Amino acid sequence: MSGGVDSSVAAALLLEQGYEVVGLTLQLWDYESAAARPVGERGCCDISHQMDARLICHQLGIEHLVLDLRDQFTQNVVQPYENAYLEGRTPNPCIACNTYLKWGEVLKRAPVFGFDFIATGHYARITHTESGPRLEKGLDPLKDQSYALWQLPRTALSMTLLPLGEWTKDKIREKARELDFRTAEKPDSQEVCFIHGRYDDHLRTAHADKVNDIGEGEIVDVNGQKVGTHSGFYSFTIGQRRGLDISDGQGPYYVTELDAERNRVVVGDKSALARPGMLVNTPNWVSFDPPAEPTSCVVKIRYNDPKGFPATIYPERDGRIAVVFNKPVNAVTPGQSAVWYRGDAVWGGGIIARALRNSEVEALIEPAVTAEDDR
Amino acid sequence: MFDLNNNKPQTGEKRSVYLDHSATTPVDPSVAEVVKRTMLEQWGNPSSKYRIGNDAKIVLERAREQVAALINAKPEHMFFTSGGTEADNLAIIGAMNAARAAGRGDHFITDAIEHSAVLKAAEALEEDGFKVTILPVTPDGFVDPDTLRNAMTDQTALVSIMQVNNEIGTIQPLDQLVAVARERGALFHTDAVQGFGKLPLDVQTLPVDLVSVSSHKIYGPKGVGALYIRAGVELSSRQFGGGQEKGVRTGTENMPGIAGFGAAALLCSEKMVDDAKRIGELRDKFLAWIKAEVDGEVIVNGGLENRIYLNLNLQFPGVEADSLLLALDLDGVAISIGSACSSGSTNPSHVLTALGLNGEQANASIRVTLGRSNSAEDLLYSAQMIGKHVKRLREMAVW
Repeated sequence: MSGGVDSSVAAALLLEQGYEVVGLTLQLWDYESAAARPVGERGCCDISHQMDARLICHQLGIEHLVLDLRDQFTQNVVQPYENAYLEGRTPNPCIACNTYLKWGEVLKRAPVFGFDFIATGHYARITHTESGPRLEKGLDPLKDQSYALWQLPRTALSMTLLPLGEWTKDKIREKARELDFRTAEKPDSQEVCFIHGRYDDHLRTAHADKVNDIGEGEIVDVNGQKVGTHSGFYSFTIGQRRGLDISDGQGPYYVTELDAERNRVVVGDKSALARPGMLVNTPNWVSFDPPAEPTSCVVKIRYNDPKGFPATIYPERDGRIAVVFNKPVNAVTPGQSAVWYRGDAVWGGGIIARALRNSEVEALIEPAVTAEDDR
Repeated sequence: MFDLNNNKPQTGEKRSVYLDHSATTPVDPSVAEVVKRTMLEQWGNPSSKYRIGNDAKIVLERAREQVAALINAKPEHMFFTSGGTEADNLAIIGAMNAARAAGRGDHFITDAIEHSAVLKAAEALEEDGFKVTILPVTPDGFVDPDTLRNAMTDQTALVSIMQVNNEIGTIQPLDQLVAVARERGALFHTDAVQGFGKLPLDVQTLPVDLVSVSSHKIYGPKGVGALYIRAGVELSSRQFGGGQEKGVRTGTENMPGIAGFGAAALLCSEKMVDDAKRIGELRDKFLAWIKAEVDGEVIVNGGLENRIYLNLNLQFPGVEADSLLLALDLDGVAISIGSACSSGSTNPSHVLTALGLNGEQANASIRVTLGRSNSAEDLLYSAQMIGKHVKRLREMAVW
């Protein structure tokens, strides 16, 4: 329980369904360092959120535990997040937190605490079929969070309860008001909970040495011609238009690629953002087995991707898969999660390694040609 | 579908067992009665000159006598504070500022296993330009008098070493340490919060200058403590106002708390010998039961010699103590890891680290501290629960 409205109501709904419920809050951050910031700027790391969770549990008459996972959070979420940016990728830390902390560390301890299930306030559903459990989209299309759960092992689904999956956010707030929860009007969490202010300022503080080594670099166009300079590629994300210091009057320019090796930010016009496909690392098949032959599906390539893109996924090779979009897609971003769906069910997901070039896609579509590379 | 009760204890009923008496103690019912009476009947301001005020003044001075008696001090040398932390801060910062102002030196010595009320005060002194030495401790958790002797300089104005450690319960050799400080003319402060009311401390025979004590560790109310100040010792005040407590700690007195503190101190003077015998025997049995219930290694952190009778600090190698605490809580047993300061904060204990334990060993350690209400049945149950959870935690799969 984060101390937000969703997990508060999730606990209440489970009690109504007859479960014996224990509230568990993960301590992920040092409250003392959060306390050093001015009141009102402490984000999710403020101990007041833990107190909100505790007070809700008290109101519900259930036990509340706080599990200290600060080290695990730093190791599995914060450090990979920082490294990704410094290597030119754009991470999804909330997904790593779900996989390694909320499920990984908690399920590991479930037998110790006598827990049969883990439940969260995510807007997604788990359905049980003869062939096993499936992770499916939440019924509120505006809140669906199934994207953020692609990395759960299939075995975790049978130990997971998602009581909000059939609810809309509005109804959850209404329910919280009915229950007179202090969390009813709490704003939704925004952005990354451990970053306050700009993430690149955080990197400059946390990794001053690496950031100094990286220094300034060139902004180049798609032909490699220098069009400006930047103060660190990690400050940019693919598709970004603002904040580019280019004054050749040819714009608007969009960031099309981050080249960490050469410390370059590549820009182009909007059409240069389109990519025909992508390579995806570390696929996880959460609801169904991997395909034996190229199969069509719908792929989301970012969290706020309402519909996703029709595409074909290719059989796994060497721990990665190729995805070819039916029509080119803008801003394929290395480091972000790609999640592929069969209807409402999450088939699987992975982390985008890079976009594919047109030639690679053509080669893929020709049978028996491989297009793997390790870049 | 599934058994909702499968995490309940296998043997006997679930009990509620409090094993964290160094964090705080339940208020004795007779003490609570005194607190209530002070609020409802003797509610006057002890500084007022009419009878309602005089009645309160009598309550205040009787409590002062009762608290002073536990360390054989004269009542006029006891000054009430808001607790042990304030007493420590007042003693250390007040004595160092007074010493610097009088040209008696600017060097402060303490040790690595003090409570944060002392260590953070030392940090504040350092920021204020004082010189600070933090002495190491032996692997058993003691300050070696020779180490102190070597650290003393002509500029050393104050030495602060606790009587009993709050995490590992070690009792420091205060008589030797005080003698070393006096050889060089330095003042000596001891944070006696954990030993007060449990172990004898006599300021007539032990020439210590400043002693911090607290109410809520001796079955009294929270929010009240006291500082003993030997006659002639100068402190600069940290608080300014109407001049109560002879200006050392001004502000209208916390009368219900002070009266309760007095009552709790009086109870301690009656029970001190019996408590030590009975709880000490239980503690030894408890350790034996834990060793019998736990498969595999159980390490006692710090020495069992010269340790306060109510404390055990145990290490279960390979076990995550934070999860053990939570699992025991679900079974009704309250233990702690490290000290209970600042909610949820559980960095590897600075005390265990100072003994030479690494982070992994410190994070596999729990503290149990026994008290008056614990029975043999409670402790047997707790030992069984510890055994059960330590086994499960050692088997904890990597997911």
